[in-house]
Amino acid sequence: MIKTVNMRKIYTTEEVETTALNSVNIEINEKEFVAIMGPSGCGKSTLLNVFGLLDNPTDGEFHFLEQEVSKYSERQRANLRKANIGFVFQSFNLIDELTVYENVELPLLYLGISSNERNKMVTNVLERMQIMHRKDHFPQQLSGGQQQRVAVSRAVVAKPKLILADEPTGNLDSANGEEVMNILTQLNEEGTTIVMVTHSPHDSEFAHRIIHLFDGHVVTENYKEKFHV
Amino acid sequence: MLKNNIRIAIRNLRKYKAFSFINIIGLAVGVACVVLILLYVLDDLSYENFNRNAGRIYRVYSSARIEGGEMKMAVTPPPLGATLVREFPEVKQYTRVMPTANMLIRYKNNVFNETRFFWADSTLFDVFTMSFIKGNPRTALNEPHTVILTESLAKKYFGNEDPIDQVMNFEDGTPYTVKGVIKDCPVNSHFHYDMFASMASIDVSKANFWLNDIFYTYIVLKKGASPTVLEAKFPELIKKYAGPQLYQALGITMDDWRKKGYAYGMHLQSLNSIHLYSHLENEMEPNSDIKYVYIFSVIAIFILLIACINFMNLATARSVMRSKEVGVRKVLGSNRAQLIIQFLLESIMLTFFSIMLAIVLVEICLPYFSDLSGKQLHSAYFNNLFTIPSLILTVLIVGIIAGSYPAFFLSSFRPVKVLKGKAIAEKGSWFRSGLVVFQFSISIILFIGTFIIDNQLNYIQKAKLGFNKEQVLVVKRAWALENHAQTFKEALLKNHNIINASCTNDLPGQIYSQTLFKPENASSSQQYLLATMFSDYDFIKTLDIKLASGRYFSKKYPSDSLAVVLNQKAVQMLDIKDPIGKRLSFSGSNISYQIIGIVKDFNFESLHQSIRPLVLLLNRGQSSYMPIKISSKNISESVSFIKNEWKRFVPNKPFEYFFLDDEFSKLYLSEQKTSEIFTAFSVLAIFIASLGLFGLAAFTAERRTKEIGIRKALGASISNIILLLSKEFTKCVLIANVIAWPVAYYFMNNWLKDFAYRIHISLWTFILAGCLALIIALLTVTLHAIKAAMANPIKSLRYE
Repeated sequence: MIKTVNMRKIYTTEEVETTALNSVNIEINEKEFVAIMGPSGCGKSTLLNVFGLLDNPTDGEFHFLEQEVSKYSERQRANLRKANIGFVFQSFNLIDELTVYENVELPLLYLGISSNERNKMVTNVLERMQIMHRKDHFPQQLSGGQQQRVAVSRAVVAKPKLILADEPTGNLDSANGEEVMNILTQLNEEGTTIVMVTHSPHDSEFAHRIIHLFDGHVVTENYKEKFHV
Repeated sequence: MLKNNIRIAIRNLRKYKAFSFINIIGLAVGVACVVLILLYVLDDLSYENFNRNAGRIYRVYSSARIEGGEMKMAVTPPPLGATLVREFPEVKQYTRVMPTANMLIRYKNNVFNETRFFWADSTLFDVFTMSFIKGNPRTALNEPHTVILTESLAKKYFGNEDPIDQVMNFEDGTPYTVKGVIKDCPVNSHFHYDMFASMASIDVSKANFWLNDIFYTYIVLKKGASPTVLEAKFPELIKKYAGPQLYQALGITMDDWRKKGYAYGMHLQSLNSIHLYSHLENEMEPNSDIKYVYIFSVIAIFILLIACINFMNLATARSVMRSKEVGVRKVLGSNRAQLIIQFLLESIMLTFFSIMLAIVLVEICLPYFSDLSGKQLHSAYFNNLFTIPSLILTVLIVGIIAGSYPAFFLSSFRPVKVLKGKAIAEKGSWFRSGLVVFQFSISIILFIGTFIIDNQLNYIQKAKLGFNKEQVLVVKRAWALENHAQTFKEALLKNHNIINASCTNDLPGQIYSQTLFKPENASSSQQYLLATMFSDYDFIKTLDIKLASGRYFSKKYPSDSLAVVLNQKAVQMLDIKDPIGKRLSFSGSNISYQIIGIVKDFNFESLHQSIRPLVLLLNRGQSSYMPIKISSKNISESVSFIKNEWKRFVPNKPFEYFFLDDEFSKLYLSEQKTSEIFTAFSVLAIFIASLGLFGLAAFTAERRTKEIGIRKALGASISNIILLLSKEFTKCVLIANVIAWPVAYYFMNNWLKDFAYRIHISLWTFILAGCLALIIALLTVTLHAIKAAMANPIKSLRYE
């Protein structure tokens, strides 16, 4: 599903050139659950952004769904992204002016799905995430755990092939964190590929494979016996 | 998708109430200004449109260049119209009109003074469109001693009686028969009438003078005829008809006269152009000026721009708050175009609300604005087919202009950055500052304009004119006293509150006739054009005009009927050394007048003009006016005393009067109006600009909350913080001053050139306007700065 070949990402500001990713060679297969770990500033988030088609690598190859996408325009990336990728953020990133229902509906709007179909899909996912009773509330009126469940709902409503999670439990207490991790595991078991950035060794236990990054390099990859390539 | 966008737009409007309020109010006031000014301008542009042939109607005016200058007059010689129709096939019809300012008309026991009275040719209705309610336009003014009236006037005299064939008596006793009733005069006409009497009633209409300009002549051209081609044929025509009369008067042929550099000519001006472009001598009414149409249009556009800028500035400043939304939407697959459409939609919606509010504002303000502008303006939205589409178009255009920059700015955010919570780069902040500078530049320009216009008008009102116009009551139509003028004057003077009185045909501030004079011993072609004033012995005493040398007319010298008094300018122009005792004569006349005295120059016309050469002559007949100098005490008693005396002398003639200073200030009516409109709009402009600044300051304070918190934690005082936050805007206003001053100087200097007597533009005006803008800006900004500075730093830091 994802394959990078000697991929580099360099940020240049007026005075400093920072190499965020250096010769990264990673391959992630469908249905895998991968955790990316490493200290702050090691390039985890940059990697996730590139995977999420939010950012282009500076050089090297990046294949997504068998397409070489490293030179794609913003519009091409947006089209590929909205159909295939769901995001879960540490800080939820819900739109405060939209209700729970509307937030979850948003990706379907951009996919041009009919209103009836949308209603079905949104209701479905909200029920599954057990947040249906809150559908007309605004994000600010919910607890952190509830907000993250909405965010996860929004990430999965369009049935993406890949879910990218950036420290999904970072702002949650342990009970709520556990719940989110269980939801992700369940989604993975149903066939969704998951790539998760985390600081938490506990959370990484849920993954099949842990990729350790340090200063933009992949240093180790640990496979677990659960899943074999 | 659209529904979702609209929903979020409405929720945003509601959530950020202050922001929405500032934008909607600002835009609404801006749009309301534009609509009001548009109504004003459209009204000015609609003059004469009620005439079916308006595009083919021309007024003929005359020009003359002689010693003493050049002049253009709206009036023409009596035989001109008929001659044009006879000589040139492209001239389809002509008509002449001549106003008489005060006409006393009696019907049974009612006597009225008609001020909108005209003599007119029977062809009047072939040229102008006037709808007949009664009577036949073909024949109404054919016979001598016939009149037609407007509907209202007919009602005034005859009530519900049928006016046709009723007989009214003019002041000299002649009976005139009513032959028609027409609709009331449209407002948008360059002259306003209540009544026309047949031209055939007066002898001068048949006179064959080619050198005296008396009538207003209008012609209708045949379809397709070119006015320029026609105009080119006029010099030949003048030579043919006026030439022999010139030779008779001056003993010189037209060709020779022209060779000396003199000129006398006729020209055409289209009827449509009169109201905005014609500023000739002897205009029937003061016209407006296209200049003001331009000035007001520009002001309207600027005010709207200021309001749009508010929107742009606030929306971009607020972008920090929207950045997360932009990021999330982009992550979820929105492309840039969809975001741009979303933000444009929000701005169009906001504009829509503003325009609804603007319509309400216009309705509320229209009566006041009509008053201010001296026009009768109507909004009449739904009488016009274009109203609704043009409103929709306005909403779209303003919405897109105001929304475009924020839309492009916001939609350009990179989701990776904004979702990471990194502060939006300060890009575009110079652009925002630039817009604030622009807004304040315009406000300062308008301020300076307002101050200078005000100063100039003040200067004019208080200027020393060389005569005293205060406490001078002028009795109109003094001729009604007939032979009793002298005894009436004497009766008045018995009252110790009446200081002086005079009988005169001419007064400062009124229109003057100008006549050609020839000094003694000058060659016959050496003619000088001088303004003339006919008055009696007490004229200069009553108006407090000072003698420079010699003496004024006196009863002691019976020969004074053949004497003249000049002003200093006239002596200069005629270039006479030791003028007292020298002689002058009217051009073409053998009777010579002795110069007996010189008066100091006084401004007998508006201060737009410099003082012209003037000849004062003794008035022996009846006079138009009786100026009466009264004591500054007991003015109302004096007025009623004069009124009672008048009643005693001429019981059945109405007593009408005005105060000379009031009449004089009417000369500056258009400036007065401009000044008031200018003031109103500059106040609005600064109001809208401040509103925007207020919002912008709020966002700046909010954006810098963390910085303020850190600074306070490190020991900054409240005043330090206020200074910090005000500095940015102070800089903007100072730069705005640098831009505004030269621009304002340029335009106001040009405006002042219209006045022969004008103020010097003082630096203080600029400093005052600049300080005022700065104070307003600081007051606006400081409010937020204080709030931000007073806040507890722990609070602001905790949020970050």
